[in-house]
Amino acid sequence: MNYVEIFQTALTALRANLMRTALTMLGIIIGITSVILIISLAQGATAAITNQISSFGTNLIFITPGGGNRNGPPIPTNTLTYEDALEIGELPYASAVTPLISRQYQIVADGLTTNASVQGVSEGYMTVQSVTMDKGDFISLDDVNGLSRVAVLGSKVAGDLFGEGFDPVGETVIINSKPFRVVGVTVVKGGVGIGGNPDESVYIPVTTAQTILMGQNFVQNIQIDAGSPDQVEPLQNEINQLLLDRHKITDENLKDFRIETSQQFLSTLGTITNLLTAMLAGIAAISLVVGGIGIMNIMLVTVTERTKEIGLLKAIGAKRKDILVQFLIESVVLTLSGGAVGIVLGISLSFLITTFMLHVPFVFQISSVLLAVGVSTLVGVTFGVYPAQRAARLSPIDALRYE
Amino acid sequence: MQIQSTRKNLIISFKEIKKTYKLGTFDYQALKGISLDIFEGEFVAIMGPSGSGKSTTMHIMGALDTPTSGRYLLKGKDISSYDEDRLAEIRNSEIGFVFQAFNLLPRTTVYKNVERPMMYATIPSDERKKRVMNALNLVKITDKADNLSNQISGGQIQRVAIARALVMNPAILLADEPTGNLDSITAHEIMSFFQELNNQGHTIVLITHEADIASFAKRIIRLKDGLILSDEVNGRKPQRTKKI
Repeated sequence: MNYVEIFQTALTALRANLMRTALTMLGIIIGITSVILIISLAQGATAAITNQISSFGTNLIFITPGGGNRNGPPIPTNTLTYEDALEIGELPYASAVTPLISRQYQIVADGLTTNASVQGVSEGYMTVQSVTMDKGDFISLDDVNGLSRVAVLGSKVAGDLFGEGFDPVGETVIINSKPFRVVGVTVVKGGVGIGGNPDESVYIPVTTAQTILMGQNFVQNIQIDAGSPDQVEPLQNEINQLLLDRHKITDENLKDFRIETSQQFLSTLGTITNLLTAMLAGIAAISLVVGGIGIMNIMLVTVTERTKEIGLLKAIGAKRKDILVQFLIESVVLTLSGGAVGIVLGISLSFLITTFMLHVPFVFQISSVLLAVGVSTLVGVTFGVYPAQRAARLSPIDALRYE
Repeated sequence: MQIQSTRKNLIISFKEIKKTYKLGTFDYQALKGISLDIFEGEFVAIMGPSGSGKSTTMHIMGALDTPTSGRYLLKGKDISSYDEDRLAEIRNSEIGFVFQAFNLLPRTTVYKNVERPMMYATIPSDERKKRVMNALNLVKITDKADNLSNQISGGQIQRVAIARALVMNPAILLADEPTGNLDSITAHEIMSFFQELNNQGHTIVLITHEADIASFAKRIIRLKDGLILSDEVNGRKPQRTKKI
């Protein structure tokens, strides 16, 4: 018998008992649906996070104080300075550099107050973090060099203090009892940035922040834009060497700074989300196993029910292999059709949930469909083998005599 | 005592066939040494009450089971020690079974039922089609080809079973109580049909416990307690049943 014929025979047998077939398939349907749904939702969420991080740019390098070796001894964290940032800015690949020092302050203007993260940055911040101005200008090099008391407000801060639609450029805000002149307002960006929500931030020159507000010579981090992705790595190496020299460190293991790139950050994030996805999909896969056991159960009943039929088939010349393949194909058809329904359900559900509930991108990958098809075939074969073997091993006389 | 025939080929030859079943702790000897020859073109009825060994004889003759000792030559080949798959091939090509009940696959058309043995023999589909239609034509049931097996009468089921038994052109037709589920009129029709097939040259072995049915055969072998009681030419003509 060829496989097309066996396939048709299997379909006939399954159609003969539609209710039972449907109930048996339900286990597989639920399993496949949940696996596809979970993978798709996780991928949608990952895509959303990745998009957000990519919006900072993928050419970024972050330098933070602290040991280069995460398991090493604690090293003082006040190791990066504005001068480090200036020197890095001289490197050929560094297209923009900014140091950053931030602290939470209460901001007052015209009797209204709000809380904001005040960030001391240099003019390079605008390029590094792709800041777009709504009104006025960002902090300039002159502002930084001249320790100017100027501030750029995040859109929410501006709205809280001056009301929506008002142009606060030229107005004065009080930060920690010290007056600052507003020179610009950034556009609404939303989401979370490094160092807080950019809409709830206030930017001032890093030099002003160090001397007037916070009274310290160190910075919390230095951010560098490498200009293009392939310049990230050479620049990273140059910065490493430069800082080692400047900090007079000869042993790499005793480094007092850490260099990370946005690419590394993305790949770390990818590893974490992949792990989470795999874990959730694994839990969903348990229902597939339960579904498979259901199939085995039903196939065993079917074999018992059709003992006489098996006897007849053997009498007219069916070999053990013929019977084995027939019952195996039956269980595979059962799981595959369940898998097909599960795929359709899983994809439609994940489309609905990502688009209308979570508002994250709908990610559809052919690989999850292939996985589902593969897994349901595997389940069909695994849990179909035992009943099919039972059928194939029946002695023809016993089977014919069976009542 | 055996009927000597010189005109035809030897199809079946049992030589001191014994069959012992293990029933728990004791052995049950179903056949205690049976020897018989069946030649091409014969119509043999094997008779006996239950427990006589006629079912065991049928199983061994039909290659559904192997003897504990003795030799079984089918068309000259000793198949007494064949494994299950080789026996399946023998059943497929040399034996045409007609059972008392459960002859047809459920939820399957008449056509597909008759076609099935040829599928196991991997005969190409156009050849299969030709043979199915020939066989259905022979049993005069061509018009029911597309009916499902539960949509035809008991007599028709037996005809389809005969068609299926003939489709591989086997060495013998082995009919195990083929009329057991039929009313007497239909039973006689089916038996007359077997006679007709025999007249066309088919070798037929009939297992029955009914003397009336056995009387359609040309030769009657009677079994009792696992041994042959008698083996003789049938002198009695079957009683005519009035056709309605």
